[in-house]
Amino acid sequence: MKKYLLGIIAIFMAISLSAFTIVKHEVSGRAMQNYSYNDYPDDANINNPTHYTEVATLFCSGSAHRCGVKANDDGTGHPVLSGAVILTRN
Amino acid sequence: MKTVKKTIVPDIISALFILLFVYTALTKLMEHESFRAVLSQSPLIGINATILSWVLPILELFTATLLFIPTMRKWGFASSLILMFFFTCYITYMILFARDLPCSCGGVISAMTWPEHLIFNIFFTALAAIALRPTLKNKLFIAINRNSRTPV
Repeated sequence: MKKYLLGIIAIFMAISLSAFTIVKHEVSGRAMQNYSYNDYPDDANINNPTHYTEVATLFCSGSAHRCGVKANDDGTGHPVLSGAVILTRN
Repeated sequence: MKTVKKTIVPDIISALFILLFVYTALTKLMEHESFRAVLSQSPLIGINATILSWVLPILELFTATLLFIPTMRKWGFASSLILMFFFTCYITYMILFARDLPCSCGGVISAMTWPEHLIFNIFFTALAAIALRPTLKNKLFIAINRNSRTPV
């Protein structure tokens, strides 16, 4: 039993960690979606949800301008910007 | 003291790898669609994304199982070394040649940047190599003694 103790502890920690990180992403019972910012590289409308479009994946590398967000849907196909994960690109 | 050191280091390394592989496999399986979508956008993977999105987490769980069983641990370390080596090569390729790097945006490990993830992978690849080395060294020792017929 001693031989397996560290392994059992590692498995329990892995299950707890993965459950914790999945739950963190689901707010109001829905997983967060990806939204691409339509006006890149113009950052004038980054706080306007109607300037975002839901996409399957986002490609954002760098930090100069708003690329998109990962957020919950507001029910109209646009993101809820408060609490959203901001993504940027060069 | 030496005997304790001999067993405790591989035990700790195998526990670390079990934690890593079980966590990443569960995250990939629970967010499978997102993982498959990110893989499909990679120039290296492309159309093989669906198959890989299942094979990778299953391989990780299989490796974790090998590491969990003490008698199979050396095979687990070998499998860990191969997996980590290929993951490291993939990340290196993406950093050097990919025009846009995808964001999987999920889990503790995915919160790292691509360069941070590369360093993380190099560290674990080295750890797997370190853990595997003593098991190979012991076999060599036995072979030499058998050939020379001198008592151990």
